[in-house]
Amino acid sequence: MKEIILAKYGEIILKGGNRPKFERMLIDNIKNALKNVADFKISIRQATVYVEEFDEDKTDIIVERMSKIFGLVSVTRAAVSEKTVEAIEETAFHYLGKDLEKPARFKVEAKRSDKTFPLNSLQLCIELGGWLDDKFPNIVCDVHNPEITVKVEVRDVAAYVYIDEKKVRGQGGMPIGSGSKATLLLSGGIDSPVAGHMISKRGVTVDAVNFFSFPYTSDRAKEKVISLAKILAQYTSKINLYIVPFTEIQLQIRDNCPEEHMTLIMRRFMMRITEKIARRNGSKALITGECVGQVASQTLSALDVTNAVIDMPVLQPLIGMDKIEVIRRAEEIGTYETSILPYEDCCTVFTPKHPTINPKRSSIERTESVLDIERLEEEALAGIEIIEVYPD
Amino acid sequence: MIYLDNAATTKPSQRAAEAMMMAVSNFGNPSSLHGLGLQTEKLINSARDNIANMLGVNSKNVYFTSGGTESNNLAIYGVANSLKRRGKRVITSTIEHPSVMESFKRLENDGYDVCYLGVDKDGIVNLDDLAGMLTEDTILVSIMHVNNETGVIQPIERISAMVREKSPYCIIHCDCVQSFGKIPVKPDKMGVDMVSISAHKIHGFKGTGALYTNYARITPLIRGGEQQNEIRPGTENVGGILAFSAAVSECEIDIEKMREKRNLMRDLLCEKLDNVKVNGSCEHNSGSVLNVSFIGIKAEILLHSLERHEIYVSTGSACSSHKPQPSHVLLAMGVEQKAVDGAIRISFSQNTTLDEIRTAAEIIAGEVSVIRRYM
Repeated sequence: MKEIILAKYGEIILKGGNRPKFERMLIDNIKNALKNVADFKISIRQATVYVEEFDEDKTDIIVERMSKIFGLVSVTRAAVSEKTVEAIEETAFHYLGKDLEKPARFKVEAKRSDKTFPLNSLQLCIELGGWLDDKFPNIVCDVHNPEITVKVEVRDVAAYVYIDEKKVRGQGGMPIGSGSKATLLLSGGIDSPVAGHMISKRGVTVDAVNFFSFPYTSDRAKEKVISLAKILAQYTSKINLYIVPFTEIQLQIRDNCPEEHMTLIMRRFMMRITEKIARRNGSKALITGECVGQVASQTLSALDVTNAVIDMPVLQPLIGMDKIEVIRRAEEIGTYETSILPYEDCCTVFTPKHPTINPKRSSIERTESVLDIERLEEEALAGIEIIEVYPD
Repeated sequence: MIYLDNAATTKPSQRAAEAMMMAVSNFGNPSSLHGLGLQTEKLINSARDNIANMLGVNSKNVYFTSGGTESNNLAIYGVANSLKRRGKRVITSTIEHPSVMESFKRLENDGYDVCYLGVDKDGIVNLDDLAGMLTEDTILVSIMHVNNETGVIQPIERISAMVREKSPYCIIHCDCVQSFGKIPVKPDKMGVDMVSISAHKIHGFKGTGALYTNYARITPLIRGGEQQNEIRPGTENVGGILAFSAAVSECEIDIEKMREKRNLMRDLLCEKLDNVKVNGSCEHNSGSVLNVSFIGIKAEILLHSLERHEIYVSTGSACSSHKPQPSHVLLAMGVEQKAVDGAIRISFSQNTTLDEIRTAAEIIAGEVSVIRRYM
């Protein structure tokens, strides 16, 4: 008996003329995610991705990796059977035996896309259901409220049998590469990795920028950001991480600007520097993890002041979400545990006691004008360290 | 590079490294019956003799372990379990290493009557309080010799005299990981029954330590073969043990010389900076650790600033610096919060030179001034 992996894709199906292009991207992304895992064969037929001929020890990790690829809505392992009723019954008996030995409510769902198969879907359900019921005395048929749904798909070259409940939900979205590139401001916190995940899910390639304030933050804080980028790269395959030295800018702001404006002026520097990086790497937008009203620098007036310094769309996918929703997403994508490690990131060291919450563009422009903005930015850009981050 | 984090670990010496290499050619299992095994066994025995000699004890009472943490665990559980019928009272202090503190916490959960002896502002355990804690059925007292965060030497001889007077069945354990090889550690003279020591604090390798115990009926932590009287079974870490012995042979015990280093650093820092507070007694100090607070800064920022100059120090003890929690030792001494936040530990080895200390003091003073401007 041979086991393969079937993955279904969603939104790509709706894309008329571009569909073959997106399918190719999807295949390339899957190949890339699995290249260090196993040897395998991959193909697309009837809106389904088939992965086969891999070492069976690797099945779990292949399923796990594929469940993180944007564009796929489900990933399931299935047994391959010849297209005869007897063969399907034999395959189901051997493949599902363990699951059907214990008492459970079950039903069979069949789908016959090969219309030359002698039984129609309903007939196949009845036939296989009756046969399984005879073979496994502990299971009872319950089509309304089953615990185990045995699925049979009779497709072009073979039939496939699996348990629907074991299907792994995919990420949905569009394949990476289908939606040009954007640059993410990645701190060590909870929000920004989630923001990066949400935009890359729409097929956008993501690079990330981190502002590093050594010695006010430690190398451990930098390692934490690299770990977060690594987790994101499980979905996006690769992230170029730009580490920007930021200490000098913070010290200059601290020395020369009013304390209550410190965070905003700092964020304006971050936006300007990120825009410059984004233009160099071909990005079409910036991504931030901002959310209205979460902290003083995220009021609408504050967002106006920080976004005013650049001429590029700023994508803020978390803008209307509550913290609790963001945390749930962070847990789902696997960044939460890393985000809550205690090493301080550069935002928390230089924080004013009473930040301005209703700033005006004009007053911030005035207070920051004492700084040699151009020189500070150039120096920061010259000191950038670029790290190519791949998933482990 | 100026390495001033010797209380966390030390650089292995050349001779320790050469001794470690002997385990490559002498690879026989010391428990094997053939000549190859015997050869290794002899090497281990002579290493044990050497270490026992330094302690002034009989080498049959020295058991090799994986390090200070295991030695402390073995001593504490081993005694508590074996003497549980004699009594439930056990005593330790509030400034012990986590491997001692956590072992006592577990004894507490197991139903033992655990007393925690506090310290004064100099970091020395309170002997009056100890008198009140000692009972006839006290079975274990474990107090460290030199504190890992402050370098303060505890009055072990007086403690053991008090214990002997009041608690006839009591076993006294002393964590000597920070004192062994730096100041004299002689269990008989100190009046203690058990001593924990570690190789990597004295220029040996990580992963090797020893427990001296004159009380042989302790319950083992791990079960296995018949090695080391079954008290610590498992094939010996031959390379680590040979290196440990080589490192012991190189130890120069000269407390005055160490204190000179500590005092120089202290005096230079106090001279160059205001609002500097030295934590822990200078009079009763091993000289190997200077714990100093720069009021108004966060110690970790200073640590990273110094790292840029290749000067390495620590905040609190290395084991707890993965999570930002204030030092339990300084808190126990009643050091106020802002001094705890600004405390760094500078620790010296016998190889640290006075010139290194002068250079480091200059740079530390400069970095503290910069950080104070911005914090």
